[in-house]
Amino acid sequence: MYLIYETEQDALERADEEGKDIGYTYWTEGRGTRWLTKPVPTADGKWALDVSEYELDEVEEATVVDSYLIPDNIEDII
Amino acid sequence: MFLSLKGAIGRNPMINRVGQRLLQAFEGASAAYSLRDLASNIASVVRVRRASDNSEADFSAADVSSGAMTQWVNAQIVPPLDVRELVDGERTGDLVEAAAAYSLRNLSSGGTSLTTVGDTQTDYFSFTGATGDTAALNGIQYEYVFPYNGAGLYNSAPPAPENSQMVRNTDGSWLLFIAETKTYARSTTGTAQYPWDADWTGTNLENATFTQQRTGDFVVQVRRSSDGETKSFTAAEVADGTLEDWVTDVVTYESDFSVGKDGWYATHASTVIAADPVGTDNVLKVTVDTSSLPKWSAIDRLTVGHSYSIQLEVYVPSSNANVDGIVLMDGSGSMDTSYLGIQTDSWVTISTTGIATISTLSVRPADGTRSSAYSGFQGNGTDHFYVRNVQITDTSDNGFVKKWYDQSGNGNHATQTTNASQPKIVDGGSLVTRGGNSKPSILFGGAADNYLDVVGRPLTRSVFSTLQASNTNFETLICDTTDNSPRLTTNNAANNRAYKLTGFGTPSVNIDGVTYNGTSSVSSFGFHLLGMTSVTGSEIDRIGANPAVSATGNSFNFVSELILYPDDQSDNRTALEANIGETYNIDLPSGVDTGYDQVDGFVETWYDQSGNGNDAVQQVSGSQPKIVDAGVLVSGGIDFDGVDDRLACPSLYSSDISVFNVVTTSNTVNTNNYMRMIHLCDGSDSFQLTRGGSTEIGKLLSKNTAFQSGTTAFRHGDINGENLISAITSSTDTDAFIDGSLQSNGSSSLGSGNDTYTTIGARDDLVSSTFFAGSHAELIIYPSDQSANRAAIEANINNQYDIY
Repeated sequence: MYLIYETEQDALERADEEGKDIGYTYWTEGRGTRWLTKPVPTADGKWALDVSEYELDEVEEATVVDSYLIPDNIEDII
Repeated sequence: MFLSLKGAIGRNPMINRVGQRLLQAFEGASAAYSLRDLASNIASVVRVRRASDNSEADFSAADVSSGAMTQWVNAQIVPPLDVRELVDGERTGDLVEAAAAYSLRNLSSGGTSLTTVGDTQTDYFSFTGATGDTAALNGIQYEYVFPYNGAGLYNSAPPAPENSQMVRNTDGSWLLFIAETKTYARSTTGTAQYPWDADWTGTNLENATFTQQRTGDFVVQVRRSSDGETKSFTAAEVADGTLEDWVTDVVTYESDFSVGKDGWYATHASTVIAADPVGTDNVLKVTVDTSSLPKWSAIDRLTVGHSYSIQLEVYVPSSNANVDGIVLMDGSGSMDTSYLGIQTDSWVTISTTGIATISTLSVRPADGTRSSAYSGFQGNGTDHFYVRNVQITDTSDNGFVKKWYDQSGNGNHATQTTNASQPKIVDGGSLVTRGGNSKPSILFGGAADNYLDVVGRPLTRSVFSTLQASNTNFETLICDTTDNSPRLTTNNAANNRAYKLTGFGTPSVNIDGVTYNGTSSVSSFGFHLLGMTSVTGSEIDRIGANPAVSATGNSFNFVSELILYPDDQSDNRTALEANIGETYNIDLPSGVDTGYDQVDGFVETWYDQSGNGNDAVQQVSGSQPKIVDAGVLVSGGIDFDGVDDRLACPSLYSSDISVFNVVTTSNTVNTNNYMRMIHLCDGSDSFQLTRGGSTEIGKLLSKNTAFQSGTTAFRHGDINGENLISAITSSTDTDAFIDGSLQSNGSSSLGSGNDTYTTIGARDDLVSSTFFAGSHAELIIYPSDQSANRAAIEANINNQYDIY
């Protein structure tokens, strides 16, 4: 499940929020693990945050998506 | 270009001298990652996050090889009150219930919700003004409306957010209530409502004392020496400095001359509120009389015996005929600082420090000499000076335990209402700590008689405590004051001041997890973990002293934690001791069952040992490779899951690159794509070492975009299991070696992105099917052609890993 954000900053703020709630050491000691997941760019210029293991509120639950458009990459020849 | 050098290894000088580590023998690496020391003086090789509680710590190579890191990952983090009974070897039974549990940490993960009783806040709230005057209390502004029952009636002004009112009843008691319906506080009953309980006297509200009730996971209630206020604290507040800050440097008075003289009075002088001679606010104006006696203005706000730092501002007009200096002192002169010939016609900050010997702080005018402030001078009735911004800070900085909350849920709080008998938790401004990791502790004082009483008399048959004795007779940890039995104490000097356990039958006693010999002096243990279990015992009602408190009842010097169980806890001993030992950094013997040994440990940082600071980092927990799997150290180094695990470090790409990589893969793993062991990028070009997936499965591949455009890449030989891969590449060619053997360069196709950093365990653009499934044990990168040293470097590595 993903939440889609217009900007990386917005997505990072949500990722930070989850990291704080979990209590990662970046938020308690100032260094170390910070996020459970981190946003990745989508093909349409937005940012997707994997929230499969997040504690979501009702608004977020209503807006999650199952997939997002992955940007084009030079694929390996399989 | 490199082939001509390969046969030269036999002519290489012996540069791997005894005592030199790899990076010292072969200098110039841009990054070097391993779980062994590749150079001298490497403090940490890896930073690990354990999954049980997300704690992180740095570990040295010795920590990894000795098992210390794995032990830390597996540490028993289940606090004592969350430990469950063993059922078929698993801790899945009922919670092990304590009779009483005292600590300065949370003894259960859920905490214990407690309502405080007795927390106080003295606000020196004064309301003696005229109709329309205002004063603030707890952020609410109150206005004197009109007299009511012989005293002022005060309404919150403005009424929002709550319309509260303070009134006097006909019987002289006070009420503070909201919207005429809900009583905040009532002076006559002392019953706390919401949110304050007040005890007010007189016809006006002066020096009101409020008792605040809160609910929280409190562990201790503390009285501070500065003003006697009492407040309860959570474990987090004890640990994060909140408690220490509350105790230290308490501002006990700040002047407010906006509506009155704020308690200031004068002797052989007069005081009035006047406009600031250069500003707009009201200030205190002090005018000398016409006598020849000493003159002063003063306020009684000091507590005898307390240390203070006092600061204020004075303004001395140049028009004065005589007054040209100020002396700031307590009434007896133990604090005494003179400001003679003080600058005139401007505000000057003056200050003094010391221990108060009387309660009065006085500001005295001087006429030329310091003695004039003491002995007096002839006043003219007009000379004057101004005072503002007076701040009195109590720096006594001691905090005493009034209540040690019982976290067991049984309400057996340990209390001491007599100030002189309260043990200390903040001493001279610093939180009392004990143990190698400086955990909070309570100082009872070995030769003192400080103690806490437990009215609820918890039944005690097993005791677990972290504590430290001094070296005096009969330092008592717990006792029953009715007959002194049971009693847990040190013995007298004739018995080596060993532990003396009365009334517990024949207990089993551990010190730091090891059976106690029964004779060693308790003081010899320093800070230690006492674990006593027994089938015998009865109720206790005191912590820290025996019944004869003034004779032989010394206190145990330091106690950090004390858990009393009503039954024999032999079966749960190791689970309890393991967690307590972990918390207080007590070195327990190896083999102590942590009961929590299936934890995963993940790599947050793989430290660069080259000295260049190119640490490989992963701040996303879900993408961290694993170093401890279900409690067991990963055998091949650091395990990457092939799904999303990776580490990133700064760009390590250069025109010449030499990579040495100890890697473990399996041909049974098929990720349907090419797995990247490492991908070095600089935003323009990149070099990657890759293993084939469903196509070219098990083949080693490489690609350097400096000379391989599009998807052009090299296919080398097979890798499977543990291999040492060496690759030396430049802007024109790549030589790849597997276990020291040069590989052919066949044709293959690989993609890549154009990021600016190096990724370990994935393609730089993190395409989902390019993640590496396998483990890295060592990865050394040189920004140079190491053909000449390749064989020697490989020999060093193989000597460590015995790969081929």
